[in-house]
Amino acid sequence: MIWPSLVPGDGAAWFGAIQIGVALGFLGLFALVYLVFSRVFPTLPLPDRS
Amino acid sequence: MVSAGEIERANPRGIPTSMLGTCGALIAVGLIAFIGGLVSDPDTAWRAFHVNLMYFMTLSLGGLMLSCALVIVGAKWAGPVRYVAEGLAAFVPVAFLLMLVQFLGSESIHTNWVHGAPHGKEGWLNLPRVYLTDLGILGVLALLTLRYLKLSFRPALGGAAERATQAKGMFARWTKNWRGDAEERADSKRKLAVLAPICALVYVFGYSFIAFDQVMSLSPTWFSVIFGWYFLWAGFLNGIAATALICVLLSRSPGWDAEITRPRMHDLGKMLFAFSIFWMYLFFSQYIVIWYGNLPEETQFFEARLGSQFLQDSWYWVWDNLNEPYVKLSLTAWLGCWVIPFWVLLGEEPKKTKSILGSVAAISLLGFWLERN
Repeated sequence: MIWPSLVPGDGAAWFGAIQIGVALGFLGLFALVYLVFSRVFPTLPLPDRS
Repeated sequence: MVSAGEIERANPRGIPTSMLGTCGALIAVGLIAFIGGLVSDPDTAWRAFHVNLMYFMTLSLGGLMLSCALVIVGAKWAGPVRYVAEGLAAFVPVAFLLMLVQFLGSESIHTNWVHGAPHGKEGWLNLPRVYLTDLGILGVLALLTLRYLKLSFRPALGGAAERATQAKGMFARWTKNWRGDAEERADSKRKLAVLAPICALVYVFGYSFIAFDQVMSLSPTWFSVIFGWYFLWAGFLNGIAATALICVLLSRSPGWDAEITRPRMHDLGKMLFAFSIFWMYLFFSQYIVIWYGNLPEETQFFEARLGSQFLQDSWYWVWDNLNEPYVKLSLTAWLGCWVIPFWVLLGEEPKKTKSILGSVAAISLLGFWLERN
């Protein structure tokens, strides 16, 4: 959706070390934010049966 | 399942070292790739940043929208599944900060209009207007998200300040003036019933602007009024897919094994199945009008992605056309976004089977990442 508008002639422009590396970085940051939120801060509530 | 008399309680605990290490390693890889890219090929680095910011920002807002939808319709089936979706929304304030960073790379991202928008669009396509509007909308969405999460989680935080090993101060602030479990739950339900529709309306109308400004305008001579819906609906679908995947992964954890039941998996599977069809419907609604009109200024968008086939005067299949730029990427993305979710989740049993639902959700998320590229 984005690369064809910016680099129309090169179908491989979306794939490369920089592109995949940046994607993995975002994945790590997203997962870290989720983990911090769901485990340390408000955390995922479960029914208290005790 | 939650039954009468049971109270949902938060259980603050630390992050396992292995998970923390994996996230840290991925972030380090991303920073090295981005900084290295800024030195060697800044355009590519900023464009990769843009693609991923759009994807993860939309995914996190999709989580918030799933929770809002469950609140608006008064869904009772979801139970703690709603909190899993809300966890995704924790990224929204981070996305706002990353959007501020992205402004530094606007020359590389908005290349096609930053030094001169097409005639008649100068007033709309200029950096101050685009970023003031988009940051304003995203700022409002980030504030609404924080308010929503606080309201939603507060009833589960009774006594959390005493039980927690970290962030005791935050739990104490969030549970200030505690009025007891029953009253807190009623108050949360009442306030969320007002806030959820507001969040949904800001997302639908506000995020359409972000889709127009940040994605559609990259081809500044192309336009489609349905593009905003199409873009934000993918976010909602991603929110469902990510929630389903996390539920499948959580189902191995103590406590969650009793919550991630087959009926709940079935419901998540039905949503993933049905809403992937609606995503395809929106795609087709956009495509068929452009196909029928067959105007070059409109068909350019599809031609750049699907190649020279699939247009009115070239509706035939030629294998060689697959070698045209981005055709394989677009067709692979289709597989993940619609073909696989539709055909695999067509029956009842696959929706209830953890391994199948989890795999389809992961494929759907990957498909949309490819589609965003």
